Amino acid sequence: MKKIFKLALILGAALSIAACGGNAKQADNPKNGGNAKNKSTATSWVPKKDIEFVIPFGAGGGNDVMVRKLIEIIKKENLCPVNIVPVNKKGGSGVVGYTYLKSKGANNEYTLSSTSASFYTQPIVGNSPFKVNEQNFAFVAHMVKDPVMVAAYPGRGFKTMKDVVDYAKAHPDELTWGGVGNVSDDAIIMYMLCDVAGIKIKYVPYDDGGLLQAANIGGHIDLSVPSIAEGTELMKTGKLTPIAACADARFKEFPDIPTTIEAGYQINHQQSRGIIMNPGVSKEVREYYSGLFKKVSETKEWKEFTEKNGMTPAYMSYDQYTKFALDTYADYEKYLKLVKKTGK
Amino acid sequence: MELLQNLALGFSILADPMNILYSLLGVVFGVIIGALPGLGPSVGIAVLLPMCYGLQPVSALAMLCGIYYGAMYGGSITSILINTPGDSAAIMTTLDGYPMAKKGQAGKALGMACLASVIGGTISVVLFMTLSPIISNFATKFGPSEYFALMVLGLTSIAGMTGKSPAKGFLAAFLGLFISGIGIDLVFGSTKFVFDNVNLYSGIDFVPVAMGLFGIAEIVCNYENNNITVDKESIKLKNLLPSREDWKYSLPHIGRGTILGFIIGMLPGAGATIASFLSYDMAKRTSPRSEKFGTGIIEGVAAPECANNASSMGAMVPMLTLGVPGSGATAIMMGALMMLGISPGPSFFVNSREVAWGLVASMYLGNVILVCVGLGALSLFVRILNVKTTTLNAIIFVFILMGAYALENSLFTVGVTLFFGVLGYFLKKLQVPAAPMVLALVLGALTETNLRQALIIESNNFFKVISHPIASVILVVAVLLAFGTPIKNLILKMRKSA
Repeated sequence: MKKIFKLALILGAALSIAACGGNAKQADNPKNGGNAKNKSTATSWVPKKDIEFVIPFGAGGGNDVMVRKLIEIIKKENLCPVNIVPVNKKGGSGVVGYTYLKSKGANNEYTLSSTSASFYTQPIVGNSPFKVNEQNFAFVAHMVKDPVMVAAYPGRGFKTMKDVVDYAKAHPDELTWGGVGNVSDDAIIMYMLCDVAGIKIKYVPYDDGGLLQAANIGGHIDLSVPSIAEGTELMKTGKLTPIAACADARFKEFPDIPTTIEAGYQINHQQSRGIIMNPGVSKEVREYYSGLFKKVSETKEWKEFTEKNGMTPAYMSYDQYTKFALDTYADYEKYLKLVKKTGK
Repeated sequence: MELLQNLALGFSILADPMNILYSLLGVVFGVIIGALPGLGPSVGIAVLLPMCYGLQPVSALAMLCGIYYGAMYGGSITSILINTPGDSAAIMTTLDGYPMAKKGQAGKALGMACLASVIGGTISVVLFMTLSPIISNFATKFGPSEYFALMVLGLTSIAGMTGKSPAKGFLAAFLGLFISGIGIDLVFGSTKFVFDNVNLYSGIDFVPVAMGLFGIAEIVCNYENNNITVDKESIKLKNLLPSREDWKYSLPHIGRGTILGFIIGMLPGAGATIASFLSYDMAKRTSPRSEKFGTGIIEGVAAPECANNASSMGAMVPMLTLGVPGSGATAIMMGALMMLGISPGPSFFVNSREVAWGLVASMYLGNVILVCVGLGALSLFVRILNVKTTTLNAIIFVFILMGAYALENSLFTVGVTLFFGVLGYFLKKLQVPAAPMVLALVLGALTETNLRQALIIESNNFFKVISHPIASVILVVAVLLAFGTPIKNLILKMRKSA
């Protein structure tokens, strides 16, 4: 009896493994391919096997949430004939993920990845071997920008950017500005402000956004730049004072708070998130993916998602994004020169 | 009283039998996940999150709370039975829990762990309910200077777990401090001991280290010892419940540990791990049986267990009153709440009264169900010890490696676990305790980060850093704890000779 039981167990395991493998085969089913042809625009390339989307950051983070939402919308609206499978490969502020992407080969047409600020900053500070250029990556589509609000500890009594700048001029090196990471956009915005206003503020790096918020509320840190998702509740209840919006336009929830540009300071720097792939893919492949994500950006669900999470939808097609990415990289090089760091 | 009215409202919302079922599901699932090495409440909540999509907010919350509590208790099951902590908060439970199991008192240890967890959990819900409005600002009083002081206090508790040879304990602690420094520097962005390996950029996480040092090393060493057998007598329920004498020893510690755990849990920068360390240390210092700690006494299990459940409740205070997550698990819970359309924050209790009080009620419920499940399934857990050692070790080993891989989807983490497994084996042979190494690893990075942030804020004026009121009080306590006994002895000696 024991032998039969063991045999049954092995057979059962083998069958279930085979069944798992079966799912992947469906993508090759010509019927599915036919349906998708009708829905997609007349590009000459369509994917024939499952696509892997490498998320270079941890589960639950901003990048992760955005990518999974993209995939969810694509699946729901049947925009793609094959499955897109998200895979988290975090580490080294994105380097592990991008290394994995490139390991698939320069001509690989079925692996995508996403970008955020570290995509630009890590190669500049020397922690990543992948400079942002066309030899290393193909730029597929730009999706959103992440605007933030400059916020202050209420106990300081600041109401406008001018208050902050005047105080900083009178008391150099006294105010503290907290942010996550030391070369992140949080830091860059501060250094830009110091540069254009001629003031000195101390930057305090955190690796935990929640802790930073608690410190800001408690007055240990004077200024920070929370996103709308993080900071709306606190700013509405007076735990933090909103000063200026680092965005293209005023935030809906705070119509009385001017943008940094309206307040007179050219520090409108926002983190951008886009989609990339390996550099050797043909123009048709880029057109396909670019078109796919364009359709996502036009859905109602995407608009609701970006609004709820305080992101600014900013779709760019592959050629626009390529120019944008290269320009942004040059800008980041300029900004990071402003950031103090020890030599290596 | 308005408070009781609100609570009644919460319970009435919860009274639906389906909610009780969800809570039960959450607790059971949480206990299992907590017991698996490397997985903790964060993973449990994240995995069951999709199931919450269609549920009413209160039902979803009932389940999530159940998972949270269950996981906090689940971690101690494997700590006691096989000396492999299920998560970092359960490390302290191994110090006395495993020796108790070796003495044949596994059932008692598990029983006390469960009851201490529940008592700690329930008292802290009461504290949460009554004090939230007043203490919501507590979390914000702690800035980098204050956290630095707290971490220093935490480091002093290392002395309490060095066992027979303090020198070896400190050796382990210094090793842990060194390892905590590996990675990219937060302030300057320079790389420290990274050897150009991308996987080391974010440093070495303590979970694979703990799994290797405790889990794998224990398995390897077990080959050389005999296993623990459990006879039928010791798993009868009346033998599982702690005796009167046990309660006499443990209750004071449970009381103190709960309050300590709750307070520490409220600080976003500290967590269940630190709460359990400090509670164990406090119990050791204040107990009349202090020299027996580490040999298998009941209060050594009760103290850390009540503290880690109390801290998980404490972590909810900043989450629900400020919208700032107090720990990793609460961060995911916050995500879950936002997904259900609720934004925790200063107006949570005002705007979403029903959900808020339903949440509080489900915390009580979670504790009750934990008692039932924990005690009811105790005899089941203890039977694990009857499995043949070789089979058990093989299964545990597989689970450890799976847990290590699941952490970061990377084989590198598995490699780290194995490395520390080998290191742990040698440490055991040399009788160097592993707990100080893990504690120093956890606290080292926090101490350094907070100190440097504090120095930036005070423009490199160290004196100003330590003269923050709360920070200075904590530091004085730490100094007293560290040097108190020698100074006292010195004074006594001087009096005698005078």
